[in-house]
Amino acid sequence: MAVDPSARVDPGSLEPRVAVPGKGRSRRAQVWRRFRRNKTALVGLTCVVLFVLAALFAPVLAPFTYNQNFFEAVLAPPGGEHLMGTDDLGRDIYSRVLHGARVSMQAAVMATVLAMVVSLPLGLVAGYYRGAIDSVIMRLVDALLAFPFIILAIALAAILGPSLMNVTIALGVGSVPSLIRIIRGEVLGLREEDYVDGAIASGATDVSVLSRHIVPNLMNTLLVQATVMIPGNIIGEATLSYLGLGVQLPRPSWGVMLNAAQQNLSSGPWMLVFPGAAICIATLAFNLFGDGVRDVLDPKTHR
Amino acid sequence: MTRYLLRRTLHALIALFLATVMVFIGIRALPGDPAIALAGEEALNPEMIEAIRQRYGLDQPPPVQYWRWIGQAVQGDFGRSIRTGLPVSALIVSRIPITIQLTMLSLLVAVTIGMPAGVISAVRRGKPADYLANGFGLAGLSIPNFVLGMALIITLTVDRNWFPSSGYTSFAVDPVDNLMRMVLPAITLGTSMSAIIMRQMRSSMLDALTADYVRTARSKGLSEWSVIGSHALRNSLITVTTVIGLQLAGLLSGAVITEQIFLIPGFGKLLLDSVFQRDYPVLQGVVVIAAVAYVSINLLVDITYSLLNPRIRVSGTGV
Repeated sequence: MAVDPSARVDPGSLEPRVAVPGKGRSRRAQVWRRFRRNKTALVGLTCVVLFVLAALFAPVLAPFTYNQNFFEAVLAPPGGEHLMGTDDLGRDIYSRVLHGARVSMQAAVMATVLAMVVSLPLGLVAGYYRGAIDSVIMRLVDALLAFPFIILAIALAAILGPSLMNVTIALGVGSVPSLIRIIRGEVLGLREEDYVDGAIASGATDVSVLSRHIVPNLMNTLLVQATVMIPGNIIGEATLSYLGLGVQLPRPSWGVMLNAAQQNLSSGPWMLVFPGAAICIATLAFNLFGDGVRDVLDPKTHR
Repeated sequence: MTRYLLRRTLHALIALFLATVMVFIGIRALPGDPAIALAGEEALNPEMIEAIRQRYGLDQPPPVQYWRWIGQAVQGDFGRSIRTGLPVSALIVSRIPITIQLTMLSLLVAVTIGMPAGVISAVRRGKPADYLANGFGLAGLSIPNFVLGMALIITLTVDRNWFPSSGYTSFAVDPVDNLMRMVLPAITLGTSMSAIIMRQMRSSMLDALTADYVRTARSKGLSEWSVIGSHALRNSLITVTTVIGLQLAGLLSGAVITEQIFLIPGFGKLLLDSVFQRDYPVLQGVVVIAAVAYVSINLLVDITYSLLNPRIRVSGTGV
C-alpha cells in the first residue's frame, strides 16, 4: 500500500535531530564515503540512475512508438521481435514500459517538488512565528489530514479531471499536510538553538535568520522526506492511473497498463508481469536508496 | 492531562468542521450543475430543474446551503443516491461491515507476520534471518497492493483455482465461502502493513536491546528469552501499538484499491463507484464518513499513546 500518509512519514524522521553544521565540500565527500560503504543503497542508486536514464531517453531506447499497433501480433508472448510481448491491442510492451518510466518519474518528481514548494514556506512561517498564524496553518493541516491520503488524492483527481498534470497536483497536495507538520516540528526545534537566538539578538532580520540558519539545517530532513515521498508517489501515480483517474490514453502509464492487464490475466499474463515488475523495481530502488540516505544523514535510525 | 485530552478533541472537531467545508466546496467545484445532476437524465426541462433547485435549497447562498447540509448530515441524513435513489446513509451502513471485516483480517495477517519477523530480525541482527526479514520488509513496502493482488489472482486462482478469484458472499449466507473469498484480499492488504510493522518492531527492539534496563536484566542473570520477552518486547510494544493504530486508519485507504481489484462491495468500492458514476451525494457522504472515521481512529490512538507514555502527557504537546 505505502501510499498512506502515515506510511510515507518515516517514524525515525519525526525524532528531533542534532543539527550538523555544514562544512562544505569536505562534509559532502564524507557523506558520500559513508553512503558508498552501504552496498544495498548503491544497488538502489544504480537502479534509480537507470530508471532516470530510461525515462529521459525512452523515445531513443524504445524500438517502437508506444501506440503503434501490430495487429498481426496481438497478445504475442515475450521473445522475438517483441522483447516483452505485445498487449491486447498489439502494442509493444517493452516500448510502453520505457515510456511509462517517463510518465512515472515525471509525476513522482514533480509531485514531490510541488509538495516541497508549498510546504516549506508554510512550515517555516508556522514553526518560526508560532502564535495565531501557526494555529491557523495547523488547523488547516489537520483538516487536510482528516482525509486518508489516497481518498484525498482520488477526490482531487475526480474534481480536477483525469490527466498527468492533475495526478501530479493531487499527489503533491495530498502530501502537503504531513510535510508541513514535519517541517514545522523541525523549525520549532531549530528556533530554540543558541545560534538562532544569537542571530536574532545581533539584529538579523527574520528573512536572514530563516535563510541562513533555519533552511540550511532543514536540508537533511527535506532530502530524507523526498526519498520517502518519491517511491510513494510512484505507487500513487500508478494507483490513480490504474483506477482510471490518471494519465489518459494513449499515453502509457504503468498503472494504465496494469488496468488493461487485469482484463487479460489468463490470455496475456506478461501484460501484468513487466509493468508490475517495473513499478516494484523502481519503488524498491528508491526505497533502498532512501534507506541509505537516511542512514548517512540521520545517525539515530538503525537500518 | 484532562487539558491535553480536551484540546486534542477540540482540534479534532475543528479539523472535521474544516474538512466538511472543504468537501462542500470541492463537490460544488465539480463540473456540471448539481441541479441537473440531481434531476437525472430524463428531466431536462427548465421548470423541473428550477423546482429541484428550490427543493434542495440550491437557490440559497452557499453558507446557508452548507448549514442545511451539515445539519442534516449530523442527523444521519446524507441525501439520496442519484443513481439508485437509495438513502446514502443506508448505502454506507450496508457497506461498512464488509470493509471492517476486510481490514480486521488484514490486520490479523499483518500482525501475525510483522511482529515475529521484527523481533527475530532485531534479536538475530546481522544474521541471515535478519537479512531475510529486511528483504521481506522492503519488498512489502515496494509492491503496490494492486500489483500484489493481481499477482495472487493470476497464480492462485487463474492457474490453480485454489481460491475464488473475486466477488463477495455474505458471512451470514455462507461463512466458508465468505472467508475463502477474503483470504487473498486480506493478504493483499495486510502485506504492506506487515512490512511497516516489521520495520518498526525491529527498530524499537534494537533500541530496547541497548537500553540500560535490558543490560540490568541481563546482568541479573535472567535467561535471554526472559530478557527479550518480558523486558525488551514489552517496552517496544508501546511504539509498535501506536504505529499499528495509525496504520489501521491507513488500511481504509488500502481497502479502496483492494476492494476494487477483488470486486468486494465494501466502503471503498462505494467511493470509487460514486466517483465513476458521478453520484455526488454518495461521494460527499462517503468522503465525510471516511474523514470522521479517520479522525476518530487517530484521536483514539493519540489518547491511548498519551496514556501509555507519560512524557507526552506532561509536556502536553503531541506532535
